[in-house]
Amino acid sequence: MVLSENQTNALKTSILCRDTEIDLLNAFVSENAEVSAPAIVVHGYKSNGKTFIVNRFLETLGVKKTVIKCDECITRKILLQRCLRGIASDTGIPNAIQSINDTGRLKQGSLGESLYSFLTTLDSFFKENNYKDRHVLVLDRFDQCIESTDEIYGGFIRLQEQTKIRNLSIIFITSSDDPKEIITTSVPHIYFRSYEEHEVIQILQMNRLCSFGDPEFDDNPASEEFWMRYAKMIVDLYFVYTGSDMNLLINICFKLWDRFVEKVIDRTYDLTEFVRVYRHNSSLLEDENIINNSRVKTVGDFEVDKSAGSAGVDDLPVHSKYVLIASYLASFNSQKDDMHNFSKIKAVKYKKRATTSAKRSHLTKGDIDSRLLSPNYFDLERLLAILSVIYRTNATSLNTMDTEEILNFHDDPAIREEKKEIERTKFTLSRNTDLYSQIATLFSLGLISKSASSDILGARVRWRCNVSWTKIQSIAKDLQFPIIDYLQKE
Amino acid sequence: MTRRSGKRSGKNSAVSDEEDFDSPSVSADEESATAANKNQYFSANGDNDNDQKSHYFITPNRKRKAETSQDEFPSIVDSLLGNSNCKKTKTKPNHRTPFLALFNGKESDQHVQKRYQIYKEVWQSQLQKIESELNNTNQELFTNLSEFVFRYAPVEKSHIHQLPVGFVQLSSNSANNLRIMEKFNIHLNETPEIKNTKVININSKNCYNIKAALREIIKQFIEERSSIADITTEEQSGDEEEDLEEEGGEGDDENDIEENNANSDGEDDQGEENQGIEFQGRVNYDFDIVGDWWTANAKLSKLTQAVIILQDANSVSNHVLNQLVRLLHAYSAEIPLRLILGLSSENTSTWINNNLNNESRTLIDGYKFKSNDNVDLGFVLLDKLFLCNNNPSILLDPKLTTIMLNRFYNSNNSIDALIAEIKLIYMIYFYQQPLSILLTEEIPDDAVYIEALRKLPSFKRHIEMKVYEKEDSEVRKLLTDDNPIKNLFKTTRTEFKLYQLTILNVITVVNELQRIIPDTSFRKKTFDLYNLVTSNKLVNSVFLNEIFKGINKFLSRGDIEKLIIELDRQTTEIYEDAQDEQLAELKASLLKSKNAADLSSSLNSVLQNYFKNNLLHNSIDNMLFHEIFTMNGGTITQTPPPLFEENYENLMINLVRPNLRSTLEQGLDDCTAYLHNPLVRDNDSTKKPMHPTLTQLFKVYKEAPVNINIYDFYVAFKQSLDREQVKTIIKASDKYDLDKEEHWEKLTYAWFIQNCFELMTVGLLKEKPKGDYLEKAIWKGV
Repeated sequence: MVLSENQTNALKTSILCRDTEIDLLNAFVSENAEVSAPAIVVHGYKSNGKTFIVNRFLETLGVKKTVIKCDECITRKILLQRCLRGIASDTGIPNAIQSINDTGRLKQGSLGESLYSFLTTLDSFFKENNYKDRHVLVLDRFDQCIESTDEIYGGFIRLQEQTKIRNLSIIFITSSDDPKEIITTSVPHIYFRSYEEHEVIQILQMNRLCSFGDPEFDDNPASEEFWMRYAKMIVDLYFVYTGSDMNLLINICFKLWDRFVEKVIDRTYDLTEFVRVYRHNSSLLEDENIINNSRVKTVGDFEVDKSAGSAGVDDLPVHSKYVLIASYLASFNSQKDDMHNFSKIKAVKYKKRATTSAKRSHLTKGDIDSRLLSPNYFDLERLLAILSVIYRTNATSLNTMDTEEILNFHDDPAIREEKKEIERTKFTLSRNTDLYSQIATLFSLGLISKSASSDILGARVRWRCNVSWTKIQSIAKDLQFPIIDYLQKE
Repeated sequence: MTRRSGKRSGKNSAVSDEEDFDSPSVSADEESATAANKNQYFSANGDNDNDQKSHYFITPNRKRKAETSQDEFPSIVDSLLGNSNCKKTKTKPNHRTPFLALFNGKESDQHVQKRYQIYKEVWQSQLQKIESELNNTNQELFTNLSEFVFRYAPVEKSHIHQLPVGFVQLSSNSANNLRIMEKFNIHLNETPEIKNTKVININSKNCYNIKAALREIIKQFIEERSSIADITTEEQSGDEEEDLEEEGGEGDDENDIEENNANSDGEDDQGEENQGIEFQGRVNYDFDIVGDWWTANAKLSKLTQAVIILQDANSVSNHVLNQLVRLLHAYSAEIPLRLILGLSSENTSTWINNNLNNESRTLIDGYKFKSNDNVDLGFVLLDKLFLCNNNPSILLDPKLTTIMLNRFYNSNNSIDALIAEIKLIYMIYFYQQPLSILLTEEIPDDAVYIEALRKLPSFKRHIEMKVYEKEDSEVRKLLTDDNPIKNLFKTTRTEFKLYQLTILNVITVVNELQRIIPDTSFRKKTFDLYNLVTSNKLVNSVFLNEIFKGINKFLSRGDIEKLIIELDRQTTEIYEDAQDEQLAELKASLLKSKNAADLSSSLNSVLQNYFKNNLLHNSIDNMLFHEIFTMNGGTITQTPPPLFEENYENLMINLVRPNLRSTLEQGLDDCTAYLHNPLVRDNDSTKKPMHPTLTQLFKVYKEAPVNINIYDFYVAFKQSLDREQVKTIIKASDKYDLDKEEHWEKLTYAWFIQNCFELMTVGLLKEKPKGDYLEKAIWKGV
């Protein structure tokens, strides 16, 4: 028996803009298992009412149903187990879960190990308990299970072919296309089209989500009007971004409501003066944080965190900062220019100038500012070499004269500087283990990354800088390091 | 594997006996290692905890050690020193301390014991300061966090359910972050609400995929509360114990083992029971287990919320993180869950934007928490420990403070590493300085002590000065008679007290003066000032000069009044028998100059006068007997003496931060540091020793190009060996005839292959994918 016309009409009035879809559901799912399709695919863009409507429809139809939220299942095994348990407990048979557990364990060793064991367990459970009630299994967000479900898709579709169960039909709810491997042409598909803008407004206006929390306002009929205009405003402003995604829209509604109505609650504006309230809040509505959802509150005053995007690496030790800069230079300079960039030998520089002056006809990689290209991988040794060079020439601890620290310096400064120069040429950071632990820390902070799936100790591991130019620039500024001098020019 | 005290195996043998007395509580020199260690504290069971450690702790069996080591170590020392008459050391010492009798074993048991006791007392008082400081640092953060955990209520009145997530902004040093999170756990355990709360700690090692993460969470969820509480409290106390001295020594360990056994047994039983009752055939990563467990147990044990703490969210793949957030959100409707994510110092909003997808972002209700800056904490600690009048007073050598500060600024700003360094300094000082008992005691009647005083370099310099000043009679008295030197020592002790008092006051004065100048970039930390004063770099420094200039520019009448008040509050004029007269004078003249017409010039002259103090014109290592009153962390002779501060080294820094690469290269280059050196070599044999073949190969390696043909490499290696010499060594016991070319080649080839592999494991060579060639994996001079 399908839904009567009265019932469908009632359903259609409570659920807006989904008349066709309800009719289609009504055509394929009925109380009588013989005349309904063994499996149906319900698909459409996310959060436009698929699950809601299917659930309401099945409730109205009054059949036993089991809804499994597949996106909460980590593996197929859990998905199958939950189906079995869910079906068993929804049958209303006493001790059903215990019995299905026993069946599963007796037959297969464990429950839901494979699709085959799932089918046999379900089959024997139905047979043993002589279960004949009409039952619908809803696999919600079937495509969003954390482990891929493509392999069991076909099995579910052919459930009635492979078992003697006739009273169970399945509704898949997905938001993506069917997988290519499975033939689903014989299975009816119900497509939920995306809502139009005016439909979204209509739906939002019908459900009054937010209240003033004060009966004086909430009972006022004007508040109804206020909500209508608020909902329309939200959709008008953000539809371009959200599309028909109801979840996002509802989220935005809640997020803005409290601050939007502040002035109404403290009675600066009247409930009827929507436009004035809107004008007052215009800056609030333009805030980009509303869209990216990343705002967090600082604890204590519950103010929204407004801190601007600082580099966030300020408290790194000095050497780590130099390692980061060296990694940036290694990633964004090509290795063949290293002699040119980092060597003191002048001949290399002249040679370089001579070769590049020759005119080339078309654009090569060298003509593009390397900062615009993606970072290259480099060997650890190259990083260490660059680090040694830039640290020796730029570190403040190695490049301050004694006279900058102490007045009346008595020893001969010239001799001392000479000695220092010798020591400086031998200075290296890679001497002790601290440097390596710093590199490991930078890696775990995600500031440098390594080539995929290589062992961190292996000889073939290659590294890459993972920091943006702006961040590096701020670090360099912090260290007073002339990073631009070392970047490949031309 | 136990988490009790142990020792890293270093090749520096100078303190290698330290395993007997307590080793540094946290050897946090390598962050990953600490991370791995700490991990044990939290998970208490992790299967893969050991995977990522860089070094491991071994607890030696105390009983066996007691029998063997005390016999063996001195005998090895004796054999190395060529002492045949080691009867004295062989008699079992009665002092029952891990310290050795110094003065070549002539130190009496009683004094060894005394030395150990002073060490324990001194370190104990410093440790208490550290503990109290660390416990007080993040109190505000912890109160906020526990407020969030226990009394979370959504601020926005929405009926959409959101998962409350706390983002804790920590520092970029992961060892510090772990310590803060650990302290937070302890803090939680001390609150009364802990009874209604389930606390779950996970970290990035549990979260390599979502299955593993959930498995860990579920495991911790269904563990009985009592056992969890036990573990945490036990660890807490264990943690303290590690730092505290172990009085009983032997009994302790057994107790621990029993406790551990009891615990693990308990858990096992628990696990099996759970398998039967609650798992119901579910896989162990099915979060429904927790759902069921919660409905069954929450009311029974009055649980009102559960908090999941992910300590290092930065290291977790964001894919897993998003899945976790989504799943926890799904279940947070039935279980009041809160998630706390520990982040490194990145900007929180940006981090969320980069790591959570839009869907997850709509699911969470985020709060930001901020922890203290740990660089500041480091300085607060140092100030508390060393910039106050301790009893007995030991000062730090400026070279040592330079080394510590350099490491803290430049390469490792972990607090745990700093504490480990400080402890090691104390250990080294008391372990190797027999005169350290003179800090509190009078000079014993033993002649050996007087002799030791006379042998101190600073005393020798003192005598040279006297000779130069032609005070021969006094020199003779000091060198021959005991009483004058005893008196001299007594006066120096008072002088040192005065010196300490003076420099502490000078530091306060300078610190207050630099506050007058509004330019903050110019300011120095108090510990930096200490460094300047003790190395005699303050008085003539550009820094002080700048302060004078600044005073001329910015000084106001209010500043002087404030200065007077602050000096009254922060400085001490008299401490025990030392009296800082200069300070008293300064204060008096400040009061006078308060009303002077020309403020700055009068203050200038007052200060000029103050800095004329003779004590400030002497660096600490020029003072008589400074070896006793200062700690230098063990000296290492560097030739030539380094000019750059970053090249300074001492025993302490060498132990916590070994020079791995240079040691390796030097060792391969010249093996005499380890083999065939005069200490080990038989003096009778006149034969020229043969060096290991590995060093031969390394010599060839050094001259080879970046890409080395294996055959060429082998031939060069073979040629470099001295065949005749090899023959003389091997001939006697061998059936091979090395004159035959084939046998010679076989032998050298075997050596070659073996050595090549050794170079590869060390990381000097790597195989090219196409064979035939080896590639040098390290660059020269890097």
